[in-house]
Amino acid sequence: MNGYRILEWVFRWFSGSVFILSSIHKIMDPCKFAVDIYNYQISPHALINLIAIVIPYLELLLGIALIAGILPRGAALGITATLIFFIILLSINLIRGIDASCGCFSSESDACELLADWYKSTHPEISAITKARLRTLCDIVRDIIFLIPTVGALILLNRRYQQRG
Amino acid sequence: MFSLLAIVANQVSPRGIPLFGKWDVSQGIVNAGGRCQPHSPEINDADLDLAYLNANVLLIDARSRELYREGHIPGALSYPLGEFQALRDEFLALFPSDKPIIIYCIGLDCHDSHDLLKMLENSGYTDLKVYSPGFDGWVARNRPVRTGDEP
Repeated sequence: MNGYRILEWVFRWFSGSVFILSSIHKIMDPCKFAVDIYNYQISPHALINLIAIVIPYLELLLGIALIAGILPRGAALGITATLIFFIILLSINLIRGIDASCGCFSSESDACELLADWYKSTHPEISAITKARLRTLCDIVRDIIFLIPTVGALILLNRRYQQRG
Repeated sequence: MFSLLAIVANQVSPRGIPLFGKWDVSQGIVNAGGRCQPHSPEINDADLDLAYLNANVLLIDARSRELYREGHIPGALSYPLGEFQALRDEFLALFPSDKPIIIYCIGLDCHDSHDLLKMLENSGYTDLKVYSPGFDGWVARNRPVRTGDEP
């Protein structure tokens, strides 16, 4: 196994695991994820529940497919598209000043929530809106960081498939 | 095809949600319907106005400390949902379990008051109600608002 294959394997496992982990709490608590989607204020009300049902299973499927190597390029492309979609949504919320959790991870383990709480405790003068914006900005940065290994896996997979001819 | 499989998986899951939720804020608190619907005893504006005159009733603001400082219903105490676990013992020492308590948060698209009610219920409190219109509903009726940390 050469260096490129090892790197591809690491990227696939990292991205796949992140997606599987992020899907589990949504499948376990669709009530909360549906409220998170409502809070984004971009979806017609009639579609909120359907989105809250389908997206977590899609994330789970993409994560498993990427790790297991089942149509890995399609899975990497799907994860990239999903991450870009969420980055755009969060950016829109940041500009609009909407206080909405991204719903990406459970709130108990959300590092961005903890970071915003810590910043607020050290800077009590900031308003609730500023704190919410800080958390959204952190969510965007985190998704961009997650995007790097996913795009890396996509590039390396393409390279391998091209070499194979 | 995949969406259909996801819908079937959701339908057979004990944690599944209906295909359509209750997202019209004019019809009450928003939720995904089915088992997501909060079953807390709720009160309306008139009930709150009556209870407000009763000095024995404890009014609790379940929103964040920052929002409380920016404006709250006069007399309400700040017990943010996220901090309640840490403040639980203090709360139990201060208030008897039969104390009438009314909880509010932001408004009809906020669930914190319902979640806090469940936590208080689990702590032994019996006379609990949620003011669903929340702080937004109070402000919309041009009722007085107090800023800062003082109730």
